Amino acid sequence: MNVRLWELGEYFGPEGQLPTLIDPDWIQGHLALTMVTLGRDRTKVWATVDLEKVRISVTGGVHYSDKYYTVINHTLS
Amino acid sequence: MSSDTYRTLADTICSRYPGTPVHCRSDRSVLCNSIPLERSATFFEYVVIDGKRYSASRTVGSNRSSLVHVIIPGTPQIHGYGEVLEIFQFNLVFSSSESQLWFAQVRWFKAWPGEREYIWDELCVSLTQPTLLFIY
Repeated sequence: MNVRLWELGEYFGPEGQLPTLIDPDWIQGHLALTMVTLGRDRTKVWATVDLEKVRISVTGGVHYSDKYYTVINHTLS
Repeated sequence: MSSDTYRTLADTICSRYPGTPVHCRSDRSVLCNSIPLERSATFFEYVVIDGKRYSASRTVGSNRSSLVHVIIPGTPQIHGYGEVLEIFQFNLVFSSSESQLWFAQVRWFKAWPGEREYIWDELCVSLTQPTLLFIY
């Protein structure tokens, strides 16, 4: 599923290792993003999933928890 | 095009095409064969790749279709995750020949460095049966 966590509202600057300008053909797919809270201190972070993989999983007719479904519902809306 | 994008474009072309050095018009040429870079480009609201539409968030005012997974070719390949801000096409004129270059300007997410549960990495396997999942 490749759920990935990111610092809330933070981006690399121009000095980052990745190029700022890319060839559009390098884009592989859409990401879904939502904010989640982690741990007992309720740290807020961004969570993303690969939308193509989410669609494949949904097709499988699997049950999801409320939290997990929230992630999917957010991206498909 | 903004000054930042213009300078980034010059750096990108010099890096990607070392045989055709360019420089910003406001700068002094460092190499004798460097040419001043045009400042005009055509900006687009979206681009369609493999039937999927990706929008430029800065242009359309929404990032709804702008969050992307990118694979930067090379050895090894690098995976990047971020937001497409602008999409533009630039005509590079060099030695009487003209090339159309397409670019997407991306700002990259910064990975969260804290501890996390790795149950999500195994999710595809565990989804074969009804599952209750939580993030802690």
